[in-house]
Amino acid sequence: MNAPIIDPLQGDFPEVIEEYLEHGIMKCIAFNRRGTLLAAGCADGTCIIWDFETRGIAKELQDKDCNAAITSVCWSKYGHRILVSASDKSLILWDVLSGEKIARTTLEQTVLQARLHPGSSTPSLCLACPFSSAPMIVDIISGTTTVLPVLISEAGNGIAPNARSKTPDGSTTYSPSTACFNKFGDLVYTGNSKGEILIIDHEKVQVRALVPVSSGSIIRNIVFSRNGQYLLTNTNDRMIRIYENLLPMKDAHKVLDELHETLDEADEVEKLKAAGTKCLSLVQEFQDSINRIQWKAPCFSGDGEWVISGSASRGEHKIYIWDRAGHLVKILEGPKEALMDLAWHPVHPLIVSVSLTGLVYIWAKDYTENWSAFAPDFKELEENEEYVEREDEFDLMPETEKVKESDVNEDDPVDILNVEKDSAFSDSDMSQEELCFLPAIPCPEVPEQQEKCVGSSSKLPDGNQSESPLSVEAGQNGHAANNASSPLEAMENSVAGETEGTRLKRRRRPSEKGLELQAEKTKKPSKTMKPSAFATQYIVGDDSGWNTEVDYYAWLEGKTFYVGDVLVFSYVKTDHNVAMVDASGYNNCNADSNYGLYDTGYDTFTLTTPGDVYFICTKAGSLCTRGWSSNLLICFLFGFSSRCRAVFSYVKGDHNVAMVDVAGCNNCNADSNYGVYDTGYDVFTLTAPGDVYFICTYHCDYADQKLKVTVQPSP
Amino acid sequence: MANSGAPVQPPPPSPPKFKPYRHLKTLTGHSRAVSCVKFSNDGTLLASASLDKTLIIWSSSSLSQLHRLVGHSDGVSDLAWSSDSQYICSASDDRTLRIWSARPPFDCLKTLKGHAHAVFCVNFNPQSELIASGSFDETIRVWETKTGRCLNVIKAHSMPLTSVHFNRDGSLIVSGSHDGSCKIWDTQNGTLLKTLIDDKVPAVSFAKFSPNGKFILVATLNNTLQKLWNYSTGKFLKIYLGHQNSSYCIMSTFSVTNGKYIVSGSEDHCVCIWDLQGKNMLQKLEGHKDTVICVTCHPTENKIASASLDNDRTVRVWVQER
Repeated sequence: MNAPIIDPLQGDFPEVIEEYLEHGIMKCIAFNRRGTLLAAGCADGTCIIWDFETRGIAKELQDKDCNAAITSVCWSKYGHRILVSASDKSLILWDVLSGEKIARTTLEQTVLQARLHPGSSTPSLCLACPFSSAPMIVDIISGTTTVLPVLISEAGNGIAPNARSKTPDGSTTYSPSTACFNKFGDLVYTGNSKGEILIIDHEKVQVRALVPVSSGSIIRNIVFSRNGQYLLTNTNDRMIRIYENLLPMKDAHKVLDELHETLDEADEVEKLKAAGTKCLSLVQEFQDSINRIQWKAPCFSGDGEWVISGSASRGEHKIYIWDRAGHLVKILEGPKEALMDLAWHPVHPLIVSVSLTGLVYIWAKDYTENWSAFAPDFKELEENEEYVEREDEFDLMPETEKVKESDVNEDDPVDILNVEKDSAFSDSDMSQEELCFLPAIPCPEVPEQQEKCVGSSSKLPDGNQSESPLSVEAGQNGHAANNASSPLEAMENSVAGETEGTRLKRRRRPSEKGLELQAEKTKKPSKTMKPSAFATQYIVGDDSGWNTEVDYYAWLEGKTFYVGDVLVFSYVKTDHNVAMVDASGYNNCNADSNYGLYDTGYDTFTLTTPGDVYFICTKAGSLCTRGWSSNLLICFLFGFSSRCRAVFSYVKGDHNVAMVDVAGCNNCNADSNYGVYDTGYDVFTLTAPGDVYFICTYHCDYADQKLKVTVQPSP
Repeated sequence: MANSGAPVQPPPPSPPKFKPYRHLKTLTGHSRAVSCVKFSNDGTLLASASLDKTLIIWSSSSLSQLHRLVGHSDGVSDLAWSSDSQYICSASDDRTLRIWSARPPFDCLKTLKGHAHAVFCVNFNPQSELIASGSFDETIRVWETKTGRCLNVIKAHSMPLTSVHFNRDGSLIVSGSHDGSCKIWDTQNGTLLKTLIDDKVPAVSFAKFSPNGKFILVATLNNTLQKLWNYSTGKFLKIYLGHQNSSYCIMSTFSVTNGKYIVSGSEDHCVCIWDLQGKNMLQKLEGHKDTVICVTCHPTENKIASASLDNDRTVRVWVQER
């Protein structure tokens, strides 16, 4: 709806982690059809429904009988029901609005992936892909299962080995297979271990077409795009293949039936293959030809224009984005945690990924406010344009100026009521009421639990500093390091059974505007927990952040830092940076230590070992450490007063340095009170704003070796 | 005492005949100026807020007082109904917002603290999971209804905010301010998407999206102007003139139940009704004894409620003649 005023020049795919969701250990995720709610299955058997608008928890679905990890979640088409499969071999169907369990059924094997039938608003049929047997259609309410054929026997008639039986045929061994419904749910597309896509009419339990994947390797995933036009497969040969669906969306099974009548191949397998060529056509293959990465959780973007996939490599959180034409457009790199699940928001250019630690990362466009937003008559241009002004453009004609704006006919009728239908969803009949939002019920206040603001947080992509060897003057107690985001702690948190408000953590990457948000100092839990279990996060400078306005000595007053604590530096990216340095780096304003220099505007450092740690901003500092050649230097006088220095390093004996006043500078006279230094490395601390002059008494006269330093007061 | 009010101009010849409104009832109960009055979205209730630090919930059919919400320690400037008509959020000069249950037992469920100055305006998003508030501290805050957490602080303007309003799908927030600007923000990340007006004077005293979210109705403190803007093109489409407004932030509204009108209060103690398309003033409702600061239209019936300041302290309800 806001499309008309969103800048068309910004990209269509996500670039950075905008925020992350934390609650227990999340394993798998699914958006509802409109992307307003996000369901996440947890390791403890709960299913969390996040309100994607507020990024807060809207509902928790928990069955007392199920505390095994959730393996998949699936929404019904209109969002009224959720199906979860758990590693205790159960399938549970939930009513979302009431939060009540509709049915639970237990199968012989753990289901890795369960999909609700998309044709109905209150589905009870689902497609379950068990750990190591053929996919089956399960009616959750009645508990009946129908095993689908997964291999075409050489004699092949395409009939399932043991149809409509409660138990799958144990005699045949299957490797894991994968399956999905087509858009209207009349056909099931199965990928098997022989590298074949079988198209199955699940009512007749009959294979209707077969499409061999060129390499013949095991199919790991098979996924339709949201509009049903494209299908992707992820195979063991490290390829993602995109197929175009040639069958019509509606009544595809009837078309297949007709197709079969026209085919006259004698051999059944040949006939199925011939039908297969009429069903799917390969359009694109993606792979990483250099690293040969195995793919994980590939899927389409909401509009089907992009294809994304995670890397299945351990210890990396990489998301590859291709356009459908096959160009790799972006690799998103997250923290060093394996990727578990991936989803693209149905409507917006947002990706949500689940990491091994159970966090859910939200990737979004790195939105920069464009200039045209700031004034009514600004316009964003794609390139420079030569502007020819009107003849009278700069004439002063106050009277006529007022008339110019009304190029709109004020009498045109306006329509303030009607809304166009959202084109993205126009394909389906809207006879059914859709459940997009859960009612937001303000939970009554527990005495003064008012959390001031969301707090505080760590930007993860590059701020994940848990390995950095440092800590701030700290750790008398020598606590063991404890990474705030470790799964262990997340678990502890949820077990601690605190009120929802404190348990639920929502982290947002701060925009410059939202810095105020960061004000909150992380609350220490009052429970009997050992303090070491809770890392405290300090926003350096609190509200004011990291800049020249703050007296950081005052800020440090009364604070004790422990190992595991996190320091957050938030600042205006263009004005400052932050470097962790050692004592000498600190004294010399020198960031050449091994810890690196950060300049993202929001950097976090986790304190990992006891001892002193120093942080400097080199933006101001570097100006102060120029050699003895430049003749104008501007220093910013830091809030932590005496930290601005002018450092003179020179060949001892060739030069010297003296701080002088204006007259001394003009007359090359060093007889002022400040003294002459000649050690080869002299440091002057600049304590007050104003102009300061330095000369080399040997060369001031004839070589003009003098320097004026203007110390700016804190801005 | 001419409560029926006299049509100022003959109605335009074409669309549905405008039937004049007449006075139905005067609601007394507040001991100070009434700052805001709003019908609930289901039309069953009416809520009024006042400088006397309280809010009153009235039945909109019987027009009897149902409950008084007491708790704020300073005057209340604005109130908003959640879409399901279950909750009221009030904005007060005591720097807090409160979420109240609008059904018995009428508890105060949450106090939203964070603003550094008086909170002047508030609105729920259409899904009612978010609340936006504007304050004299020049920020917009976005709150989560369920937990009362502040999700975002937008340093929006350089002068006090006068109004915040969500569009139809909740993706945009429009804000108006005494700094003379009217800006549109992305709800999700708080980024500025467009500046609609950026003049130093006059102050923008009110801004609101049209029911379909395509236009913005903007009032400015220069006595005459109420403009309807197409925000995507940045052009204004209609100007409604004839009322008086130079010092108060008067809330106006769209009336859509029987023909399309713009309804607004005025500092000449009247309620003004304009034809949306023709821009001509159709009726001035007289009866209040002070500036009419707020008007609200019933969602389904042809009913208007108006609130007036300290010399009057009443809410008046007006209905269309049969």
